[in-house]
Amino acid sequence: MTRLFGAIGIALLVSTSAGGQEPTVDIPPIERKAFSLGGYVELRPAIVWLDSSAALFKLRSAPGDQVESRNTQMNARLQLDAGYNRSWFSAQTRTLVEGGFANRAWSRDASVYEAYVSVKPSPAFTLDAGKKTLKWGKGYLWNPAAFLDRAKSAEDPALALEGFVVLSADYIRTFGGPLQVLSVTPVLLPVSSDLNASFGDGDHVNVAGKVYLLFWDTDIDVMYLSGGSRPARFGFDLSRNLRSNVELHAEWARVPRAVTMVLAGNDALIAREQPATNVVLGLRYLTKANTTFIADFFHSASGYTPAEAEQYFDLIQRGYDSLTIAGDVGLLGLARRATEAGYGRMNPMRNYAYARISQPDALGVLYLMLGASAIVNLDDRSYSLLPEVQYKPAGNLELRALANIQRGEPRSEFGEKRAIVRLELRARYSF
Amino acid sequence: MDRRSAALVWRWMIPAVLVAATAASAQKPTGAPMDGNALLRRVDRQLNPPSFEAYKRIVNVEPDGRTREYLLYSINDGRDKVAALFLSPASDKGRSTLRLGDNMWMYVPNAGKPIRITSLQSVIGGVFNNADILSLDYSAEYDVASVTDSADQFVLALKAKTRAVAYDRLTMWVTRKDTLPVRIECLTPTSMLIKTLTFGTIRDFGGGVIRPATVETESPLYKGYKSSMTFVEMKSRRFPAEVFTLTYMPNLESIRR
Repeated sequence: MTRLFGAIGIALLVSTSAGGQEPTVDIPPIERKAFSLGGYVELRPAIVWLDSSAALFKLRSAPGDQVESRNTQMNARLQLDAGYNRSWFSAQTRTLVEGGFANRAWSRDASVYEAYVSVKPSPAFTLDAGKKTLKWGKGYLWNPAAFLDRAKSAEDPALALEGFVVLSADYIRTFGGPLQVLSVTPVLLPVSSDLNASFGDGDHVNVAGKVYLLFWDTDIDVMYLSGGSRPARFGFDLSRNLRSNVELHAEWARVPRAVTMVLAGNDALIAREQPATNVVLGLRYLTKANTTFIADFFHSASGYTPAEAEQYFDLIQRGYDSLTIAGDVGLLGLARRATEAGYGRMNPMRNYAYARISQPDALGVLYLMLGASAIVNLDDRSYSLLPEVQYKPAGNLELRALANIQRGEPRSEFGEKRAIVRLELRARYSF
Repeated sequence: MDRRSAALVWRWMIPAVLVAATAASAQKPTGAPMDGNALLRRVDRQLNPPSFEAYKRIVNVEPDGRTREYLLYSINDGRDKVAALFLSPASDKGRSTLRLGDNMWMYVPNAGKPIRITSLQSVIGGVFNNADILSLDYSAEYDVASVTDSADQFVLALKAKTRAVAYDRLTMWVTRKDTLPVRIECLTPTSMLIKTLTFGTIRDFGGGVIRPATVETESPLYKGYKSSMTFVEMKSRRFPAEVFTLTYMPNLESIRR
C-alpha cells in the first residue's frame, strides 16, 4: 500500500513539473580533467623618455655614459600555470619567464612564483606546503597588513607576485547569526641562506597567522607575524559594502619595533628603531553608468620624511659630482646601499593618495575599458599619472596601452625618477 | 504500520499531498484570493532544487553578430548562497565568484585575493550582470505585490525586499501548467525597463529537475546586444557550508566531480 502511495506521489511530482516539456537542445557535455595547463604570453614594447638630470638617473649612470633622452624597449613575458586536482589532493605551479631587449642588450629571467601541494581531508581543512603567494590585505595598491607578501607593481597592482616557501593551513567554520564565517590560517615561513633569503635575516622560522571573520556582512582579518627575519607586527583589515555601490576598506598594522635605515648627517647609513603604525583607508564607488572610482589613502609611519628624501637625493648628486670630478665612488656607493636598504622601495615616504577611475564597455563598445590612476605623494606633491586603454578583440586576446607620467619638483619622489614618461603597449594571449 | 512504511509515507505521500494542494490552489478561478509569495516559492523550486550544481554556458552577442562564450561551474545552496567558477575562456579560467545574500566577491588567480563586487557590475561584460549570473531564489529577494491570474498564466508583480537588490521591481510571467517563468521584466522604481529575461527550451536534467535550459536577455540600455545563458548540466547536490566562504574560493575547483 505504501509503495502505491509512493508511486502516486512520484507521478504527481513528475506530472506537475514535466507538463511543459519541449524537445531538448543539443548541448555538448563538459570535459573533466585532472591535469590543467594554462597561462599567457605577452609582448610589451615600450618607449621611455628619460630625465638625465634626475637623481635616480645619475644613480645608475657613470660619467662618460652615452646619454639618450629616449629609450626603446621590447619586453616579453610567459606565464605558465599547471595544476593537478584530484579529490583531496592538488598541486599548483606558476612559472614566469621574462626576456627583454633594451639599451642594445638582452636580458632574461625565469622564476617559479608558486609551486605547492594542497591536501584537503575535508572542506573545512586545507594544508598547503611549498612556494605560495598569500596576498593578505584589502588595499588596492598598498598593503601594510600583507606581512608575508612582496610589494605590488604600481603600474599593475593585479599582477601575479612571487611567493615564499611556506607551510600553511586553513581551518573554516560557518555559523548562523551575525558571525557567518570564521577561518584560521596559521603559517610557518622558514628563512635561511638557501631558502626565502629575500624575506629577511636568515636562520629563523617565522610564525604568522590570520583569522578571518565575516561578521555583520563585514570582512575582517586579524593578522600577526612573530619576530624573526622581520620585526614582529600585528594588524587587521576590513571591507564592507556601505551601500550596494559603495565599499569601504581599511588596513591597520602596528610594528612595535620598526627598523628603518636612514642617512645620518655624517654620510653614514644608520638603523632607526621606533614604533610604527601604518594605515590604508579607502573607498570604492560604482555609478549607475558602471563607472568605478577608487580612492585609497596610505600613511606609513616608518616612511621617510621629505627632509630625509631630500638628503638622499642630495647624496646621489654629490656622489655623482664626486665621481665625475675626482673619480671617487664612495658617496655614490653609499647612495646605492641606501637605495637597497629602503630608499629605493616603492613609495618610500609617509603619506600617499591613490585614485583610480575605470569605465568598462566604454563609448558603447563591449570589452573596451578606459581607465586612469594617479599616485600622489602628499608630502612633496609629486605624482604619477597612469592612463590606460584596454580592449579584448577576441576571447583570449587582450590589448592594452598604458602610460606612466611622473612629475614633481626637484628633490621630490616622482620628480627625481629616471623616466619622465613611459608608454607601453601590451598584447596578451591567454591559453 | 512499521517504521519503513511510515518513512515511505512521509517521503512520498506528504509531498504528493502538498504538491496536489498547491496545484489545486493554483487552479482557483480568477478573482479568488491567492498567496503570491507561496506561488513565488513554488516557481523557485520548479526552477532549481534547494541545493544543486550546474554548468552554465553564457554567450554575449554583439550587434555585428560576433559572439563570446563563457563556461561556468556553479553551486547553489539554500536561498542565498551561490559560488561559481569560470572554466573558459582561458583568459578567465580559474576566476571564481561568491555570493552570500547581498555580499558578493570575485577571486582572480593572478590577483590572488577576493575583492568585493556589486550586483550591478558584470564580471563578463554584456547584458547579464552579477545578480543575473549569481542569481538567488526570487523569493529570497522579492515579495509579491500582486498576482494577475489568467487562463493559462499568472503575472506576478514583485517588489525588492531591500535596496541592495539589483532590480527594484520585477514583472514575472509564469505558466499555469507547470509554474515555470517564461518572461521576466526588470524595472527601476519608476517603471523604466532595464532588461527582459526570456526562458525557453524546457529540458529534463534528470533527478526530477525539469526546467528551462535557456535564459536570453536583452536590454534597452544595450541596444543591439544580447546575452544568453544555457544550463548544460544541472543536478541536485548538497554541499558543506565551508565551500561558500572567501577562504575556500581558490579551491572551488576541488569540489567538481
